[in-house]
Amino acid sequence: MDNHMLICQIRTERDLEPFISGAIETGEHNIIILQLKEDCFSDLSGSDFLEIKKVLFNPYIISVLVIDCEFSMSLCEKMYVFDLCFLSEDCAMRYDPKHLRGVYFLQLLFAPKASFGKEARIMNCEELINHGFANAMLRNESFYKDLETEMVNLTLERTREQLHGIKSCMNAYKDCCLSGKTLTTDPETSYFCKLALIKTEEDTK
Amino acid sequence: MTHKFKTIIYEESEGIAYICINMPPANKMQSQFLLEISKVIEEYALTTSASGIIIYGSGRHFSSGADVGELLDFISSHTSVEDGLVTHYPEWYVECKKSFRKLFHMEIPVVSAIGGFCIGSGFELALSSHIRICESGARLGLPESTFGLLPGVNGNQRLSEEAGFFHAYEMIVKGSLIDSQEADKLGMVDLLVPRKSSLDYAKKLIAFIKEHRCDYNFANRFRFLDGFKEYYFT
Repeated sequence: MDNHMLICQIRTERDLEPFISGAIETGEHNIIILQLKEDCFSDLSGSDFLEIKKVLFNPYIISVLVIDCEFSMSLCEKMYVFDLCFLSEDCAMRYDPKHLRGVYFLQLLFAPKASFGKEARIMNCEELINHGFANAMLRNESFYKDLETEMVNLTLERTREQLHGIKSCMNAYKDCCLSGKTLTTDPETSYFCKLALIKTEEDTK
Repeated sequence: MTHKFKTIIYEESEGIAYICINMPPANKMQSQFLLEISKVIEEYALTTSASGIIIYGSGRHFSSGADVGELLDFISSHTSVEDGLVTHYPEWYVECKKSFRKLFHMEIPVVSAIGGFCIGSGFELALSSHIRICESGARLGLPESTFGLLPGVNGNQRLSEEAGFFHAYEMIVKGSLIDSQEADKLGMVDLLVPRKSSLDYAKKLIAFIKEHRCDYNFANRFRFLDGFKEYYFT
């Protein structure tokens, strides 16, 4: 599938306004990248965050978080609305084991088997990557080129239906994890069969 | 006690139940296997009085995954769709998913001993166990997306639970294979061991848990695993 990336640099909460108000026009873009230059995602109010979630949870869109700043543990509570996460070389997390919700989200959704320790500290990019916090690091000297390469490698030859299916499954599991409920209807079953039918039809053409 | 099927050998010996994927050399899973594995899990594994279950592959490989061509034929001839909605699913497929899930929810340790290729449905079966012991040199992954599909036997959920959502999404969409070191780093396997030793360590682990098992369950499996690592590897 062709990639149409929309990269939004976020420096203040105002930069998130188009997502909150619904004014953001994704158009042909199937990849939305939010590059956090300042940690202004963490403190979003509940209702504003839900509006952003509506946009980023759309199964036809691949939503990518690029963290390019120092950030607090509160971000961990909100970053599940993204499908992928990349770190800039200069980013760092103010790790605080007493931030219980942050630690809970970190272990539940992003790094289930990593142990971040009991000591509050600034974790740099390298340490975060070693703990499995994000997908990869983007080097300063080739930041956008690396990002584009990552996205091309990811979606190469994947169909719209496949990406929709995989993300729909992930969204359902995330919601279950967060609500603590057991999955009652697994979307995987239906998507798997539908994709198998599409593939068989294509192969017989 | 041994039960031989066309594609699986189920055996109970010295208090351990073994499910051997028996289609060497690659242990490619054909529809016959997917039918038989549900039967083996439902009729034997779920009711066993053994102290633990070990899943492994006959020969060098755990499993190279499903025979995609045969699987597609089988699925498409047993699935009905109306107005874009699936109205009838292949029964054996639904049963297979259910039985993998039941295996995962068992109260005794379920351990996969992985060597060689552990790919696609093979990896999904390994993800249905509580603990994955993996030999160096093994290759793991869910390449279904490279065939126009997505993982179909609980792999999307189980990989996310083990490796976190970001890594699971990337690995599933890319469909790439990774080596045992990388899988260990990402939390997809729980113990790395030398070549040809995973089955031996799986037996030792179950014996170790049996010794201390008064309160074993999936949630506290790492307490036992950490103790085991300390005992054998430090």
